[in-house]
Amino acid sequence: MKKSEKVRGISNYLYVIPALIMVLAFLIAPVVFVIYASFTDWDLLHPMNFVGLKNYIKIFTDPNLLVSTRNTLIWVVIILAIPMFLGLILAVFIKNVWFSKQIKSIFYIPLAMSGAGIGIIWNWIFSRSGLLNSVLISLGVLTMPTSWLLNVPQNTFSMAVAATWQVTGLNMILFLMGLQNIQPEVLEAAKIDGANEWQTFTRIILPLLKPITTVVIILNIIGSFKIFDIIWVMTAGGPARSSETLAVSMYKESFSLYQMGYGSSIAVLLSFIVFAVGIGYLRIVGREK
Amino acid sequence: MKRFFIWLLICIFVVSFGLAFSGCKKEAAVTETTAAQAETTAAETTAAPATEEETTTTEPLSGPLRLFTDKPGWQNGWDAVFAGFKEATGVDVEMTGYTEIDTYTAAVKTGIPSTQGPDVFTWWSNYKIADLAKEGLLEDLSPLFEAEQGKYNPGILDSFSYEGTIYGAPVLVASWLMFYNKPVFEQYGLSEPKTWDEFMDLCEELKSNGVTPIGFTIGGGWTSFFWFQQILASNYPEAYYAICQGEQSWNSEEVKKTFEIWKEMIDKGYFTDPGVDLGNDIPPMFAKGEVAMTYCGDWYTAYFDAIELKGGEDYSMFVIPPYEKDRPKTVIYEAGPICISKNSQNMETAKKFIEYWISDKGQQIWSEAMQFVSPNSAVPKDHLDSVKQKISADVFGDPDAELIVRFWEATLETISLPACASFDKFVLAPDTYESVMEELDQMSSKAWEEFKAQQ
Repeated sequence: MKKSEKVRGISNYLYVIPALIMVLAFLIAPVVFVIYASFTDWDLLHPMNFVGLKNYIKIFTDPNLLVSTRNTLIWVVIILAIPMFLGLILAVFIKNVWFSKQIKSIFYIPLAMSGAGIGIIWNWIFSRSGLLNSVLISLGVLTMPTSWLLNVPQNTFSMAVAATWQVTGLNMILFLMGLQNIQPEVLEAAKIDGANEWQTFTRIILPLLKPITTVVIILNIIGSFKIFDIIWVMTAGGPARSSETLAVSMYKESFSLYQMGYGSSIAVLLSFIVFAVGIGYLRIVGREK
Repeated sequence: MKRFFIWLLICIFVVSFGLAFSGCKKEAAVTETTAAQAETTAAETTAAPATEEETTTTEPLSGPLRLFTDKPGWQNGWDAVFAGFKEATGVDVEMTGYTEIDTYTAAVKTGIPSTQGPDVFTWWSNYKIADLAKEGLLEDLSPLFEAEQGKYNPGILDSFSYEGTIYGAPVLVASWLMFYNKPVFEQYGLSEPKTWDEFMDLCEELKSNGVTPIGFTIGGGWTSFFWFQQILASNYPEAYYAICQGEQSWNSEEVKKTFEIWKEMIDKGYFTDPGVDLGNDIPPMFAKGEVAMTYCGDWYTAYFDAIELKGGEDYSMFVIPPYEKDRPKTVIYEAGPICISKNSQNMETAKKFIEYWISDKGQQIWSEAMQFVSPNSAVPKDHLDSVKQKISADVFGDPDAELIVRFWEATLETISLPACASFDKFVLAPDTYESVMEELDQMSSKAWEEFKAQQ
């Protein structure tokens, strides 16, 4: 009996091995390698040389990285403000309408698309010969086409519109989940007590949405720190590296300028920020519970 | 019963592991054999350069040949050459195409130090090929060119050489010219300019008639060097090369003059909005006559072909005259090579492929399929359209024309791309050219310092 239990114990481990190998090979090993590479001057061709904290010091003195950090923060603010607000408004308005399923599907479609696909669509809309210029010229708003993706900071705002289009649907779904969890009795009690629609919304619904709002905020912050594909497709971080975010700088330094060591250090820093935000999220959720 | 299953599972695991291990060993043995064969063949080839008779070997060649390229869009050309090579040798070529330059570069740079990379691959000339050659990652192609002596311009082969050894065969030799809309020129009674003043008058005439003289963009992040290289290289070639090679400061009179000429053209409104797209916007604007000219490598005619403009009828080209009056006709050229990885597992086949590629037959097939001017002088030009024939005569056929390497390849790759970001800044705010020069100088000094430290 004891022997068979031992064998069973071993066989249990055997089942875990394939998954463990995958996690080690495709998650743990690359993370360890990137951390190691961030302390080297690796450029793909020459052997890696240990350079200590040089790459990390460079991050704080590189003017391009300062622009990237500023842009990343702009992205965080925009994504936190607009898609979250729109998501909440949409969720509240469609909650009790008969066509809420259709509206949900419409707003959810962009989320099912890849960031690169969204970048291509919006690049066409914002391009000089694109849809937006054509519409504005035909309406007489513009006399000449304008380059929406060329001027700073207009290009970042234009790309944020594309990202908003993608993210709003997810926020709406999450807020809808939150709204559905609110007990109807609570709202009825407010009504009996004489609260009007606005008072019910601000004093009952919004406080009860706090847990889901926390989730939405954290997801949006993490998403905006990681934003890459839309920017890469629409401007590639240009012109003159003016629309880069930290994720784009990480890619550009690594794969365009072949400074894999420096690119790795940006990756580590970015991961650290996202990780810290994630921990913050878990703590907040824990406190709520 | 349970115990039986557990033991069965363990047996399966052990047997699979054993089989996998023996498979690996076998594969390794095969790899070693192939490598040994390749080494032997390589040694034989080096010892005695093959003559045409000797190359018709009866030994079967290993294959298929793995080719990586960043030019998968040239499918017609590749297919034609691959078919010709298969007919000649019986070996297939498997092409892996990358449309993203960064991904492609990373794939090649990480692939060729091992045996898992491509056998042959397309690359870039000058500093970019030297980077790989210096690390011993490329096969010497000099013996293959001995059979084709006199057919290839030594200047072009120099672009593919490092310390006197040729490491690349030409895939593309493109000259950078001004393409112009013929009907627009005819409408306003304009002709190809012979001097800079004539060129400026022509731009002014077009501008006064509501036509934007020149299509130009900084979109895409790499195109802003076009006019910098043209003005600097055609007027001050010594300074151009010295700056590209880190021997002269960017804070120089020649660079300042270049920016001033360029700024004057921007200020006069001779260029399109820099936000236009090189491939999607400029060709239709050019076709409609909204833009009269555009400066680019002659591969740009593929965009005109795509919108059914006919070379010689709808458009033609001229060499931009230099600003400095005593300068000869100067043409920027870019040369793209195809190289053999030193770690190729099909070395003999790869050499055969390059031998076929540079032969008259291979070049004729490539030139006919791609409508490129072949750098092999023995290849006839009569299949090319009139613009391509004009390029062939005016550029490669003119002994007085000075050919200068494109900026992209003429300097370190750690300089060319960041420099474009600085040029972008200048285009968006032309008055800032002095600070842009300062920025370029600092960036260049640092890049050269790092480059020299690696030597």
